[in-house]
Amino acid sequence: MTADGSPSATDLHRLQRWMLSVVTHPSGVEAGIEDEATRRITDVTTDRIEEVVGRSKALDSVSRLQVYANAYFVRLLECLREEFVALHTILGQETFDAFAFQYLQADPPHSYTLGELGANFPRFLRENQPAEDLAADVPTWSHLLIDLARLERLYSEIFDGPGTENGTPLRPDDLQSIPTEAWPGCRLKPVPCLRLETFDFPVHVYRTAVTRGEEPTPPSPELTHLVLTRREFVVRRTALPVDEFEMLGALVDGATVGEAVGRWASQSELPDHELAPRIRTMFAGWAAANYFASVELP
Amino acid sequence: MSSAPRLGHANLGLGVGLRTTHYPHILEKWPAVDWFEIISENYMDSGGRPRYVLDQIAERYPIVMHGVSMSIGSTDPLDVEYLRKLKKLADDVNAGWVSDHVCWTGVTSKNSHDLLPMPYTEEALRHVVDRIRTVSEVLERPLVLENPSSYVTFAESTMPEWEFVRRMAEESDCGLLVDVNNVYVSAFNHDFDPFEYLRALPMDRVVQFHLAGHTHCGTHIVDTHDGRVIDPVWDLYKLAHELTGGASTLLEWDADIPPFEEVHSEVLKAKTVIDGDGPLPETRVAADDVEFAEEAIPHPAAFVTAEAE
Ligand SMILES: [Fe+2]
Repeated sequence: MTADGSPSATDLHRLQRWMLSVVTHPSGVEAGIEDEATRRITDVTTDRIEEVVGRSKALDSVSRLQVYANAYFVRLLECLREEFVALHTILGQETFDAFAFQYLQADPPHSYTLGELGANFPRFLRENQPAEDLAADVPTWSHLLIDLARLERLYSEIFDGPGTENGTPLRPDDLQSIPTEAWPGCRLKPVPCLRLETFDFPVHVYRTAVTRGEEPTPPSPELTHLVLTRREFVVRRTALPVDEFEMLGALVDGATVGEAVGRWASQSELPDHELAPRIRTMFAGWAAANYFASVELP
Repeated sequence: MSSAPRLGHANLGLGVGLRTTHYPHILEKWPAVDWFEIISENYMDSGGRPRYVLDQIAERYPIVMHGVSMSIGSTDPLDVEYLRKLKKLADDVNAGWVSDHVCWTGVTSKNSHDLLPMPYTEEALRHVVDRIRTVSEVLERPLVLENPSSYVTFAESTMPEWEFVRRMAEESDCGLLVDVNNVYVSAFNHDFDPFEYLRALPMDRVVQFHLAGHTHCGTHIVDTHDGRVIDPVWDLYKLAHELTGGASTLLEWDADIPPFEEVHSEVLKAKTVIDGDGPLPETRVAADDVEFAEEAIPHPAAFVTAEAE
């Protein structure tokens, strides 16, 4: 190791640091070459660039570097536009690109995979939310943008993550075979792709319309409780009423059926005789939607 | 050091690069293709559809893995986690071999997601040779490396690319993937003779060939993989075939991808070269038919987007 902490002060290391800072400079190749930070690596100016990068018969050195520089942001922006297709639609290309361009400068790609490129985009938007929106009583435009980005990133994670397609998730029949007296002590293990998330807007409806090629109008605020999962390799999303969402959340967090149902029943406004049928309907629906992998009997 | 032809690997015939848009066609028709090449990074982290499709295809066809993220030439440490996943995928799909590019993709832990060129110096050669040895040990198989398309040359280079590639292969005992289109692209961009390049390579180490289309911008050519193989590239392929006695040949088509059969028929044109029976088909694209493009972006990596209801 050298004094500046770099693995080695070799010519190769220096050349790579120099080239990367030139071709990823947000203001282009010439600004990259002249940038103070770049000149601390290799002190060469544009008029002396041929000391580092040769020209060809047809093209000067700066134009040759521009092939890489032009490609760098365009390639990454294209990936982000595809991953955040609904956010891209709602903002329009120019505004989306402006946000994405700032994001790529604040958080340049570090992973070997482009799959990680958008991982911090929702957080970046949240951290750069206008102060007046943070203080607002009702969800604002920027809240909508963050919600969309969160949803689309979740879709990517669920699409690529582990699923249940090769296994056998819990079916409604499996639940029916559990002895009644065993029910309260049971714990249900969620499938690995199950996610429960709350949004200020029904962004899932907007996103679906965009992917169908429709031109949806931006949604109005509406507290939305989504359960997300994957079946047949496609990401599925369902909005649940808040009481059902909270009971499902309690089960996912490890509560026993007795605990989760008890908490729900104590808060439910349903008349007593409707509680049991409603519980049965909910559990059967969850099992039919493959939310659970297995049941742990007491 | 000498080796058996193709490092002992079989000549798999004429293959196609597996792309997401062709999944439905392949799964429905199971077309008669000799073999498929996959982009390793599109599968090594997939727990969903891409991996499921690959597993089915790997049951029926030979699979070869081609990566874009090893960054063998970088001065950053090798990504051990990446290599571990690469080896696991290679074991899982029984990959014929694992290839990447003579390049670096980033440094100081920043990744450009591009295939950036090496300076061809003694220092760079030693660096790459050392790392190839390490990677081959981790993967427990010899690495195969491809000559990249490039758009700049470095003043500090002390040898031509073909000498660097030859010495790299011989000193590290790795295999070569000769991308004939890349030889053509770089020869135009750097004013060298592509035939001289091919003649200088250690042909007994050539495990595989790539063919592809490119975009001519007048002053330079960009490796876009977005069209047919042009005549001069077929001419180079003919020489490469003669020099090697034949090796597994694959067509890359990554942008404006036509239906599967069209991609497949493009690589099957190589039969005319291999069988050595006269001129290539009528559908050839002559070099002077090419219209110049204003701008072009090389896309070394394909990006897979989520499917959602
Ligand atoms: Fe290639």
